[in-house]
Amino acid sequence: MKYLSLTTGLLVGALAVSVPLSQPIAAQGQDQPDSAGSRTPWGDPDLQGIWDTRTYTPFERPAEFGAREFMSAEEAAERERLGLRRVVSDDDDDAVAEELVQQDVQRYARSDAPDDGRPGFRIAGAEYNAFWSADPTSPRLSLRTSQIVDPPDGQMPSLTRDALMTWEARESERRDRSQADDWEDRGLSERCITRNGLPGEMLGSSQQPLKEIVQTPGYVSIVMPYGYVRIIPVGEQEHLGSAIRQWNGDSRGRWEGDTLVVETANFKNTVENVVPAHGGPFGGSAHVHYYPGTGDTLRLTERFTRVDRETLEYRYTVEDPNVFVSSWSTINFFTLDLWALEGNQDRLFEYACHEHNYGMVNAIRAARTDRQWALDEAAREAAIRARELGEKWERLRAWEASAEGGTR
Amino acid sequence: MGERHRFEWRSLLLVTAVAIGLATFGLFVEPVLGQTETYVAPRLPGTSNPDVSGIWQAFTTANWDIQDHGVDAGPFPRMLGVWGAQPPGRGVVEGNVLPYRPEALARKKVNFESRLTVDVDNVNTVGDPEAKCYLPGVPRATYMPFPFQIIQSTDKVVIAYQFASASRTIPLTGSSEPPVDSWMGWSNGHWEGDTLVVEVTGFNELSWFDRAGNYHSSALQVVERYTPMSPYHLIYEATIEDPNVFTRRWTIKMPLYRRIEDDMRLLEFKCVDLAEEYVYGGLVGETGRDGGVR
Repeated sequence: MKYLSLTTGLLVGALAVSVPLSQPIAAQGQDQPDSAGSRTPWGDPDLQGIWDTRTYTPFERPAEFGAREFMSAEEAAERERLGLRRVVSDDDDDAVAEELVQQDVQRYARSDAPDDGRPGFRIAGAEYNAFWSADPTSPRLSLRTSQIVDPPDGQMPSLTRDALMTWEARESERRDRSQADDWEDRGLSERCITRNGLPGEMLGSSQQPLKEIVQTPGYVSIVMPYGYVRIIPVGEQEHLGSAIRQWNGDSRGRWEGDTLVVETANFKNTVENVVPAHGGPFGGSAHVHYYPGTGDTLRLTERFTRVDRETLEYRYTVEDPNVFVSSWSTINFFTLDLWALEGNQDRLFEYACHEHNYGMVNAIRAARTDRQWALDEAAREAAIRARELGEKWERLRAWEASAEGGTR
Repeated sequence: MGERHRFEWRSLLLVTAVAIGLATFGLFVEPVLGQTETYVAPRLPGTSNPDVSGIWQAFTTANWDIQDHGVDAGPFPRMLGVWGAQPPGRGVVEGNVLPYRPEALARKKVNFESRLTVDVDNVNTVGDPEAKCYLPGVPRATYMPFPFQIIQSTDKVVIAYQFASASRTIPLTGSSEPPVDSWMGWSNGHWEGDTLVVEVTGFNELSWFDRAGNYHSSALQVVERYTPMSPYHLIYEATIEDPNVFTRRWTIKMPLYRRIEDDMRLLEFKCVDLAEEYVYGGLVGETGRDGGVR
């Protein structure tokens, strides 16, 4: 039970997707040489490999777990049975499951339609989802009840009053906009600018589970699945001047023992650029996926530690006093791509998104063909966000009334 | 990087002294592009291969036209003054001849004439992909007027380009076939002596070689050769083969210069948001974005 000793039990349920829960847990990898502490030829800790960065751990702790940091193996099995062992955000699990069912029903309904030659058009139901999923890699199953480990309640801290007022102002500015009066009415992901941004993009989805780490003296690079390479210089250099702002910030790394610590600043002002698409505060599908602030004062600190040959511990902390009332931190575990380990050559394929973005052309045309419809849809989405915004205000007021908030 | 490639004044003095000596005796021979026999690059630790890591940039005008080209006002002199002018430049094609098949040359001319045309129904196939912030393809990515970074590990090389955040992963072992066509192609690398050789296949037919409209089909195969010439230079050669468009293979060649500025970094040029009005603006009416149906 190497994982027990190495990660103090965090990975008790280390299982591959294809391994039924009844099998002994954490059995994999025992015969493999231990790579924790292994070095590149130039002496740096070796983090290289293709990593499955998906997780089944809820981002925030679901209410059913109360204050418990870990779930039991039985509870994990029940989540598996309910189909919840999937990449989860803070989306409501039941709603997600229901939505998938409805999508499948619709696909089955048109499965008799003539084939018009589009790839995937005739793929229906579960086959459709399988078409887009990315096995044979698989994340390990953690028994953690939330990715967030700080604050200890497993919930993201409240947004600040400033952040909520910014959110409100944006909603009010958008009041007479349709879903696609022009391209800036669509989200960053649809525009092919960033997917979830950092740190959200560091965690894999079922479509894009992998990251590849390649090192050279003085640098650690991470080949990201959504069309760019994070290049992290490792050394003493300072961050770029504040006039230079980037979608993915400016990352600088250092080694603390065997841990790569990466500090990222110089993020772009996303408030000016991100348009809410599907209910999230400033874009993405939820606050998990996109950082809701300006970027001006955001500081992201990540820690990469190879705990054994097949496991990379990934922690990050988000600090931004203008946006969150306190900092917050998460833990996740990346799994080495076993298929590649077996001698198969694997690599991340090109992500040409903007190059074929007829979706944007169609969205703008559609919204102009029936603007009333596009306005109604925009209003429907705005209502979802308004409900979320109300919840955020409640959460802030509760925090302000609490002992913690009262002392500030 | 600054640590590893710090400029060595002592070496420069020595080289200068030797050069003066040679010149004095009439023996000085100008360095010739590609004549690298005398330079031995430092090895990547743990390997017998030269370390070609670093931030590099081509300084040519080949992105305007890979063949010889004169000064031109550029497409919008009234709007941009000389900001948009085409500088003159020697071509990078060996012999300066592109062996187009006769029927293929017409397409190049059409490309040139419509290089800044946007057709939203044929957004991939009409106009220069560069203007739309599309992935630049290979070899064009190399001589875009932007730096790129080579990250060399023991069995793999990553090349990250500033333009459009394009990138390539190049395994040095276990060559494989492209699963499907792509803009940047499918790269397999190996070492031939001190030269990194990268064979690139699996291209789509959509990228161009330059703003002059030189183009290829999906039958394109590129063999690139990166050879260290000094601590601060690589020689880059790319042989292009595409029987659908050209009657024979042809080669481009140019030096790549190491960017040695203190704390030199590859910055982000994710240009999508800079290109959206250009690509989609026609959809929202004459007045541009926010016009029309507000």
